Amino acid sequence: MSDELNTNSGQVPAPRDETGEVIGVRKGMFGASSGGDTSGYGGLVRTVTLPGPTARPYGGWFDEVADELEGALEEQDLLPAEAIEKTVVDRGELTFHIAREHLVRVARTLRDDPALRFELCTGVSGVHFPGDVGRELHAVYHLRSLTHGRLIRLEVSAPDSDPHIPSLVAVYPTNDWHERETYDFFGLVFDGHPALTRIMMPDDWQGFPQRKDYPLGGIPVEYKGAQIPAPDQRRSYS
Amino acid sequence: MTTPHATPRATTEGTVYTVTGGDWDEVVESALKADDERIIVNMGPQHPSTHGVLRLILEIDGETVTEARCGIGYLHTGIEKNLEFRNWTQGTTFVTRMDYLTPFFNEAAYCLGVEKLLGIEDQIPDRATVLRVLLMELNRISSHLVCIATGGMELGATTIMIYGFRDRELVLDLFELITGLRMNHAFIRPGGLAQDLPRARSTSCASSSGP
Amino acid sequence: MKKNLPEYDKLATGNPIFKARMQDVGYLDLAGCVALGATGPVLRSAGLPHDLRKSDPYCGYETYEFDVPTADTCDSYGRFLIRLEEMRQSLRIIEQCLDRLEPGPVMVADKKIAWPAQLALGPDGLGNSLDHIRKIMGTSMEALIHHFKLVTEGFRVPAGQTYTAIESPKGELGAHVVSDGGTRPYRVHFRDPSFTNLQAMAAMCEGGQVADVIVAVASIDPVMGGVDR
Repeated sequence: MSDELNTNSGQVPAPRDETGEVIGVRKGMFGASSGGDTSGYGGLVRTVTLPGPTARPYGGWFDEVADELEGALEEQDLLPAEAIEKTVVDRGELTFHIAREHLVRVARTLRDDPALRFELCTGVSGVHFPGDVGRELHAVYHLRSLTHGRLIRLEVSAPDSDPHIPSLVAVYPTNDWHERETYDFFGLVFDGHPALTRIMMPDDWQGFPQRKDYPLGGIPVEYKGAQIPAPDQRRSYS
Repeated sequence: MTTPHATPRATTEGTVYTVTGGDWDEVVESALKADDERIIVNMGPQHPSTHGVLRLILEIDGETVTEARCGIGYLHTGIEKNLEFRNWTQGTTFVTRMDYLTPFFNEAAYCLGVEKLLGIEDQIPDRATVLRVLLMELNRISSHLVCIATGGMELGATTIMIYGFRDRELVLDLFELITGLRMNHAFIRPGGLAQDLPRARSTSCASSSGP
Repeated sequence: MKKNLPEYDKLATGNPIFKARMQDVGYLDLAGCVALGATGPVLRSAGLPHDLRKSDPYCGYETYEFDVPTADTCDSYGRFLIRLEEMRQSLRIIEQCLDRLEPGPVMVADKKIAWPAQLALGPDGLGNSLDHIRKIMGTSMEALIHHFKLVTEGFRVPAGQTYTAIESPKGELGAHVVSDGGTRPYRVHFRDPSFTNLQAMAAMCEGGQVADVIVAVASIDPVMGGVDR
């Protein structure tokens, strides 16, 4: 996996260290899980990691935002180191990983502080990383500042055993349906949501479809005498 | 098999299950208890005036709406989950079908995201970028035409529906000439476009949009 | 098309019945729009000229000349006028595009990512162009391998996540793409504008009349394919 140095306008940021979150392990040449590996490289084992935390300076306006946020949190007697678990700058985007207990306060600070003013939240996106034990379910919020023209990302994680995250509907009412959708598909329960019910699946559906352990579904297709199985059960070479 | 919200009932034709979902029970109960003339109207998923399969649950007091709720999910096809089992390029074909009136925008958002992850944003040829903008703007016109046309029809003016769709045909013909399809073209791919314009392109486009 | 657009003005814009049914219907002011995350014509009808093509340009939009129409009436009539005007601006952009077309490639040069084949109309229908087939079967082994691997397995994308937003006719369409370094997307989530704008329907309609609900929903212009995905 390549390790890019972000060359934003402004300072050149410090190189990143590789301790990102492990999201899986790939074995063999292509990482195929089924079928024999005839490439000769069958003994290769590689862990796949997401980009790890970035050290300061971040480059561009990221430093300004990070400083403002930390300052504003300190004013509220909230230690930035407790609330912000790590900061990742990757591909020109700034991501704050927030501890879930402090999510509402951090979001309110981001919305109200005049130098930050991230008024528009574009919704929650859930991601399920079964390989990242203890932090399997991630909820990703993207915040857009209309006054400053900026976009940042907040990422919160919750373990599978306790999939609760505080709801941001009180801060950003637009998250109402987005949180319902994330609950519907991932089982992430948003505490404090006014009406957390299923939105896309039928109301009495059991199971959470977009988790990685939920099958895709689909029936085999018969074609010229052969049966083609559903996409998640086909052979894959990667 | 009973689920929490399905109650079976034996009839001459076998067992009939009454399925209610969500908080419908509570809504009905509280409406029964209310003293004033409040009716709950379910503008159900199939209705010519709701833009597709949208269920509008309206509590009406006379002619005034006191509470409005949307029931959605009737068109959920699991595109996001399906994408996890396909190649990056095959993803375009799925993503195109999400917002079916604006397929180029869906594709463009997806491909711009993939290109950003790949880090090849600067290497996309200029011609590909200009053509993407051209196709997206044509699609914007066709989408707005549908909005105006169906909006007018919902108000009762059917003429505007014909006007809108007639003008949309001009745009769809252009799309057919360029991509081969009128709708859901998987044309914008990660890295550029699937194909170049056919030779007769520019003149045809100019005459369609021109005076 | 340019000569057809004034027909809408004649038929609808000045029409008193249109105006009576659409003015002051579906009211959602700026604070409501931003709180509920409504973007696109709904936000612009509240007066804020927020357009991602201008504020966060992509695909070279910063080099095109066009205006962002707004209205300050916050109602369905304003949204209708905005849409008409946006069509005219789109025509302007298209003309500028046509002037800029220069001959050149349309796929990225990196052969490890670029889609290999060109389609052409052959005797048995649309398929790979015969030139391409001649090249991969006859001359270049590498071209054959590239074609095969790219079509069956696909290219690999380095691990990470990104969010790209564009301005679709309905609003801000965002794609949150997460990759785990493989040939398949790990997770793709679309922030669809119709989904978010439809949430605003309840705020617009309560207190109004039943027929106004229809007008308000029509002015939001939800496309259920986007809402439900």
